[in-house]
Amino acid sequence: MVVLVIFSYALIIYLDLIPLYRKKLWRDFGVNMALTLLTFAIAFLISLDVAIPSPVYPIKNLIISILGK
Amino acid sequence: MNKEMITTKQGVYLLTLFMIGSNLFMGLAPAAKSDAWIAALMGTLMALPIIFIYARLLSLFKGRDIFDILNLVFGNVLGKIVALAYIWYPLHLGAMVIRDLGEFFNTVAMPETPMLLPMLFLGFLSIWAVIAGVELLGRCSKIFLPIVVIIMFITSLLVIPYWNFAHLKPVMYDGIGPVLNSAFDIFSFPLAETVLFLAVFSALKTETSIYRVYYSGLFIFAAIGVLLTLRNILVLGGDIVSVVNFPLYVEVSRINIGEFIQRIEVSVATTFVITDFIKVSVCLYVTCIGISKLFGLKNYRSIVVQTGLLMVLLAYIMYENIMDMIYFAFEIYAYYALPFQVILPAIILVIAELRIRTGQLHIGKKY
Repeated sequence: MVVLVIFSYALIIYLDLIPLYRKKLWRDFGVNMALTLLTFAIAFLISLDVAIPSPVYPIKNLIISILGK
Repeated sequence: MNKEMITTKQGVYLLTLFMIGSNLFMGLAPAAKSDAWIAALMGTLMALPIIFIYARLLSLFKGRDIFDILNLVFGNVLGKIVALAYIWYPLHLGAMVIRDLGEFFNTVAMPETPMLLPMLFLGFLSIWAVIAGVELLGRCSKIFLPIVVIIMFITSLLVIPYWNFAHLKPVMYDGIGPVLNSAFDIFSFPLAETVLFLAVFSALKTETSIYRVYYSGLFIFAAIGVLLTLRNILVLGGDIVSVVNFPLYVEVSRINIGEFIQRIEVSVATTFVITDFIKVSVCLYVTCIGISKLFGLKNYRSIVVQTGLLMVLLAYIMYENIMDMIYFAFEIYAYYALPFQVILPAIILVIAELRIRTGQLHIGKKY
């Protein structure tokens, strides 16, 4: 599973990021790089069976505290 | 610059499919039980003014999407801060829709397949569609809407023998309270989500007014939604509709005509996948447009792959189980979405109108 994630990300970087670097679109490259790192971190942790805290629970707690349900 | 264009008809179809996406299969307004169809009608009525706000914004700033509008109305800094809200909302909404599909496959259609797999494939398909552009989405919806309508129509004919009008009574046994609550759910779950089309309809090439596009989509959806909800109640009864997670699927699986026409619930799964695909694609498109406008990128296409993957992964880590999903979708979501759907557009419209009337904002030709 981990190997699969790493290989697929190598493929995505080769197909998606390298062309931007070649075309010297630095802004696009930077934003794409940041997003790639973020998704790679999440995918890597999922493949290692780490429980990632969901961003939905803070929203849920906030709304419940506002509504007072 | 070759700007992408969608025609009026494609716009209406896209809007309709977007609204059908995922919520019809989860059942409109399960809390209202046998009065769900009244709730659907009331929800449509509640959506009329808010749709007017969206259409008014679009017709004030023709050819511009919501992120340009925010930039014009609020200025550079505040506009970008508010734009963050409209990047997060479609991302979260898309993740919710992907998760709906994953839970559907996991609980009903293919219980032994890992949930990530159908979600990942839907994500890939949407990434592909968004890279191809909004034109392709328009053409897709022109093919898909007839398929969806035909499947709905045929299954409606086949369930006629199972109708039981006693299920409709008593009308409003618990008073009007639950019905109004459910109407608010319907308002926020499919109808007011069309706020995202503020970013899509900048590509609309139309001679007729934008109001017509929005309201035709709304009325087509309302017709389909009310009829299907009524059908669900007639066949299953309000109590079962409020308990099962995917009432449409359960209902069609009951069809058994002469031991020959049976197990056609796959057709419902097909429509589910089609409409979900359209909805996820629209959400992904809006998110990518937002991120590219926020950072001033050359083209939104350079970040579609990563944003799509982020959406799928967010969908995967979002809830622990289906009960979590149902609770969030039916109890929390309506209030969570209110700022994005009603409050912010109303504020934007008021400030835009004020600034245009006082001559601070020049938008060129008035439409």
